[in-house]
Amino acid sequence: MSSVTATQDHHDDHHPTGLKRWLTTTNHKDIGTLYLVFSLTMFLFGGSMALVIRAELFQPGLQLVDPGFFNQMTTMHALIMVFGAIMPAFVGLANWMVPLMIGAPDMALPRLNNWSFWILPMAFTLLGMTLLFPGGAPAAGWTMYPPLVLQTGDAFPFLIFAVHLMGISSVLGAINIIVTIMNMRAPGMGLLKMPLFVWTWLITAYLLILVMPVLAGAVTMLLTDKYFGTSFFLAAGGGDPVMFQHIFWFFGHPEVYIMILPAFGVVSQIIPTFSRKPLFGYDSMVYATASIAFLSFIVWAHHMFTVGMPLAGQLFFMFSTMLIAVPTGVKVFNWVATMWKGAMTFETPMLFALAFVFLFTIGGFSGLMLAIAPADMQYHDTYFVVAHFHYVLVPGAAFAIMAAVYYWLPKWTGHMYNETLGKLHFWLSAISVNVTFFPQHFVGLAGMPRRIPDYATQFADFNAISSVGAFVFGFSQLLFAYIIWSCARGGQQATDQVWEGADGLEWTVPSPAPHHTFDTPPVIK
Amino acid sequence: MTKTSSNDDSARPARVVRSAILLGLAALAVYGAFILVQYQRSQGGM
Repeated sequence: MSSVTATQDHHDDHHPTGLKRWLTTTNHKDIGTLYLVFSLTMFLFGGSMALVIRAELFQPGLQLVDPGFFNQMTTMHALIMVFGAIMPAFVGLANWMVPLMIGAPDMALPRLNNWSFWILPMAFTLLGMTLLFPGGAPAAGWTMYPPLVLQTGDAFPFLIFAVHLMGISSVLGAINIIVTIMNMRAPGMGLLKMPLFVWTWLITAYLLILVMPVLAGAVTMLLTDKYFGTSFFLAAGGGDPVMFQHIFWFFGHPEVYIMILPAFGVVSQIIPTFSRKPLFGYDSMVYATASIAFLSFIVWAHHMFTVGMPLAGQLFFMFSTMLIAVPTGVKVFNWVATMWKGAMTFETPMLFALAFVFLFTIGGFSGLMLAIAPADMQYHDTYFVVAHFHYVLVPGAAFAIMAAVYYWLPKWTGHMYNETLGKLHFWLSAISVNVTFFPQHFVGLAGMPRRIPDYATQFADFNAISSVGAFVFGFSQLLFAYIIWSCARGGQQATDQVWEGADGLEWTVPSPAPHHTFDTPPVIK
Repeated sequence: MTKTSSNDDSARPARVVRSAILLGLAALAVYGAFILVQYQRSQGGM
């Protein structure tokens, strides 16, 4: 975007204040803030469950919690982090930034936007309250495999209803994002002029619409199997429990990309800014994103090689999975090429983006190892898998969210955050995340199973190290919350452009961004 | 100036609502189709 003419209306903002403002708001910036605050709350809530897990695993033997509660913690931690923390954080970023980046005054369907958000607290209240039930919370894992999940007590219908609500929220949010991008771009902004973050979100939104209903269908069938006498997945009635696994992962693998494609978009915005160069290979980035999205639909059974399938099936899913490395490699190459001979500086967003490139790639490589069907027979359900997907989701997706927050926080609040504290937060997080998850590769390769509260003494040292790392990482995030809070309250005034190398429509509006922006569409020349 | 889908302001609301409804129906169709196929399968169909 070489040249832009932006017009701003500086009229008085008349909107409700206090609680009513947040309940009734249809403003994309308010709703973005709501999503982000909700996501941070869930991140800390789900993270505290991870600390219960790591405290129990600090030593071999059963110390702190009984095995049933341990299973509840693993299940709830995953559900909350996936549906409550990572996904809403990216939807929050999309709400805030997509209209600003495409020069639109708001999302296309503002009332639907309000509804999409407020469904989420209801869903997580339903899910969270099951912790207080006599039988406890769901404990069969976030994958909800039957027949085990059908043994869940009173929490079961709450789980199913909560998952339905999360799905409805996601689909409505995705519809809003697609129609906004397709209909409300500023004059002159062709599709291949859109910022990469907008592109990755457009593709992610299509993924959401195609796969969230699949999850909803699967859990509806679980509900009818338990309460209405059907046998979709019950072998005794002629059903097939393995079919659930196929359906779940037909949703579940694209879901992985729903959580990582917007992260690619964030990193593709940040690296050019702090390298002071345009993104290398913009078009190939778009095509690589679309290729990854397509491939995500034909790789699902690599999650279930051990369940048994024909050799041709194993080969197909093995090679299709490995194929994903090609467009992902294109992206990593382009990020590195963008930095090549750039005038790089290392502010906190760039540090998190760089860590993303290194550490997500480690998660990608362990994914390639898991894609090898014969090797997966050894790795399956071990801590190697736990290490793999945590590398993708923590220093991958979560670091990208943190990078995005530091990058756009001055635009949101009008203040610069404390750079020293930001860098301290980065280094604490980057070191502790590796201390936590890298040893899990070793215990996994040696055969330590996942989702078990006890383990053989041979795994004790690496587990102790992992637990120490987890507690340092967990408490470091309180520093993140403090930095955001103090930045929202005050600090050095941010300029409109904020970062010297920043380019794009969002940097043409004042800091903080006014309640209403681009009432008159800017013209992209 | 490159022509984009947002040039025609008068047509925007109808187009927005129409595309939103179509996308919503697509989501419902995926949901229904999955359950229907599984229902037929569990009845010995397919």
